[in-house]
Amino acid sequence: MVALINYLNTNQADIMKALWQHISISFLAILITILIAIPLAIVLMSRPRWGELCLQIAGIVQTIPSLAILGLLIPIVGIGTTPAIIALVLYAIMPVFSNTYAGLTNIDPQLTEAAEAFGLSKTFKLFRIQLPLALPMILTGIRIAMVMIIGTATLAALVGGGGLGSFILLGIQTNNNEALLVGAVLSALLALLFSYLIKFVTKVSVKIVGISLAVVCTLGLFVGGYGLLSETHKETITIAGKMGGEPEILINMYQQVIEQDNPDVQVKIKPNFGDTFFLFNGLKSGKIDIYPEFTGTALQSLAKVEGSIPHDPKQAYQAAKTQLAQQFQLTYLAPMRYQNGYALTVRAGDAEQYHLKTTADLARQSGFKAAFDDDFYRQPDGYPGLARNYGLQFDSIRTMAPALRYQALNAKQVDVTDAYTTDPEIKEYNLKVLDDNENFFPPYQAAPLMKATFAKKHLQVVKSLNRLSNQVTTQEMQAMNYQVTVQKQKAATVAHEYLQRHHLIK
Amino acid sequence: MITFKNISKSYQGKLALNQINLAINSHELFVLVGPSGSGKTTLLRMINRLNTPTTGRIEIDGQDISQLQNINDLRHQMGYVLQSGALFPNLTVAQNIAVTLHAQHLSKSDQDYRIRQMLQRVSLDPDVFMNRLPKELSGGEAQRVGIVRALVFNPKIILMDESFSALDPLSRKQLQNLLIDLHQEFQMTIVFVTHDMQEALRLATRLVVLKEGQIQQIGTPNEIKMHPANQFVADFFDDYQEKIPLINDVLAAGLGQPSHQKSGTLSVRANIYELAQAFQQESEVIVGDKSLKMADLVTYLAQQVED
Repeated sequence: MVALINYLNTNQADIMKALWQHISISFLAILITILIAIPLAIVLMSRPRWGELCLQIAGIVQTIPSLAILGLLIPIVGIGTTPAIIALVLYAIMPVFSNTYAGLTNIDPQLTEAAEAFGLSKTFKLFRIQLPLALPMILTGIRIAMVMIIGTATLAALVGGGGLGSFILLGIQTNNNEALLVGAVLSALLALLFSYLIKFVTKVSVKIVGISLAVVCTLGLFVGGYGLLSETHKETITIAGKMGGEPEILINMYQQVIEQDNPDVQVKIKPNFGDTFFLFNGLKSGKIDIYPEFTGTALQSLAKVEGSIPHDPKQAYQAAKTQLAQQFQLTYLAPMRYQNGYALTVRAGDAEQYHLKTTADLARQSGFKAAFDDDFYRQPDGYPGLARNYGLQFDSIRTMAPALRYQALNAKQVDVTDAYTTDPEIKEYNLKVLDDNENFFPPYQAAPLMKATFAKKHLQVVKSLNRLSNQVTTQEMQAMNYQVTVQKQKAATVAHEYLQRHHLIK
Repeated sequence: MITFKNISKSYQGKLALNQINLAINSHELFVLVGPSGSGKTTLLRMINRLNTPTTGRIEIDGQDISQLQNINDLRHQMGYVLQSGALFPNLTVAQNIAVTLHAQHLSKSDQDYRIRQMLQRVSLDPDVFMNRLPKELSGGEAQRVGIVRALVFNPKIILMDESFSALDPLSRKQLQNLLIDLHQEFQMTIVFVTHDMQEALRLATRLVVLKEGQIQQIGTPNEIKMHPANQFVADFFDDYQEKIPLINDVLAAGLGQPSHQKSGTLSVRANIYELAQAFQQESEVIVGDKSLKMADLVTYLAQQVED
């Protein structure tokens, strides 16, 4: 509870921003949905065959998992709020359309016949009779859609659309229960609130409903439009980071050095933007300008490299730089000093007792129990290769979720786990990282990645970022990660303190 | 004058109307009567082109209505009253009536004046009813509003489709009387569809009896009563002959005193003529566990007239 209150206090501004983003995305999505679904239903109400067909299509679209829709949309519309809104609209069309269609077509045939027999004009019939009679059904459809949109909008975070989902995603990926709770509870509350509001609206008179619909529409246009405008028309540099505390520290550092050196440049940062795939596509599509990428990831996941991956950090960086430039016309600036690669860890006490400094030292021991992350245990360049390289043997090996394996190690249920060398838990649980003395693991060093055209145009920005090259040791990164992830300090503050201490900014 | 010339209509190969030739004179209250499936409603709906004949044509004052460019020009001249009133539930009584005035381009105050006048004419107080919603009306009141809606723009023709069929007997009789009065006052042509011979005979200046899409007989109520053209018309008329009330009906009206005498003189299925006969011999007739006096029969007959 205290942790939660602390979290709320330190992240108040971010939470409010995410909440606002969430509301904007949802409003814009429901507005577009209404503007598509209701006119469509009106057009199709007198064409039952087409109407039924549309119902079927809308039904089918709704059975596609939203995640899949997002995935399908990325190659077409890129990342950010646009695919999120399109996916939400595709989802929400079904309830609004089917309810409007049913509301309009299920009007008592006697009334329809009367309207026809009196020779009423089409507009009079539509606006004075058909729509008012269908209104309760239409509003129910909008309510269902709204609740669905607010819930599904949490997925927008996956494609860099922001919103409350970014807290949920952050919570899941970094085992941060406070963030998870904030994201989940706020989006649920938001859904309940809007559901209640619309339900309340259905009970009041038609006139008020009409007025509030108009207000919602203008508000949606204003809110959504403002959000989109402010995103696309400002001449700023956008720097995004992957999920988690460390990338957030890095992009804050980028922002602070760039903004200090270039007073005319405004840097917009997007922490917890998504995974490697989204960021890379975002960079290529121009949605973001810079993001920090690891040399190892660049070589393994992004660029296609012939032959084996170099294990020397300098060679690895050179290879990544060359390949990214050749294959994707990207510029990869010089990396920082610290390594965030795989390594094995043991408790500091054990390390002292058994004189463990390197992985080779561990190979000489027996009777150790290990717990590994599932990916690490299976990948050939993970445990299987490592064991072969060093001749490792353990008493038992279990696979478990990343966060749990540290707890297991701390509780002495296991003696060895895999780790990323900058994980804050290393400091938190007082662990010893064993040196990969034979350089088995590919090096993971973070460096800014950008389009070559961008680098050419922004020489001053490149110069600023290069001041960070070869800065920050692995221990320093660990400490900063600890401050952000465990102690919940703000990434911007932690980055600022570091830069000041090392005279990188004034 | 509305003229049907060689009208036939087939639905999915089945003949619903067969070679109908019919002329409805102006100012008539003309009734189309027949059992369900006789084609009477189909025929009615052809007059305002809600239905189109498969062959043949309909003329109104010599004008073939299928040749009219704008169908609404035709419909704006005709009132239409449906079975249940068919008032729009989202509109008030006044708004419902104004729907048909819409095409007349009247000022708001003229509209209000007309609506008030007509509501008063059908015995609904405008101050009470104008702003009510249809759900706040009884069946009879709703149908009165339905009639006002069809009448308010002074149409030459009013079409009525089973307009009183869903009402209770009392409201039904009242509305029939109202319709007869209105017809005499405004002298418009009314085409009225019903399956009820009683109603047809009561309302019509002339009527046509239909069966399975064919005309059985056209004539005034008297002509048809006196000289049914065939067995079907005679039977149809018989079925709807005013029924002679039974003793059961007298008892059902709450008349008679409890009696402990076991042996009944008459059965409850005996009619009131037989009861009257019995009173000539004795002052008290025992039926089941009730005893009836002559005063009970007189009370019952008096009640019937009131209805």
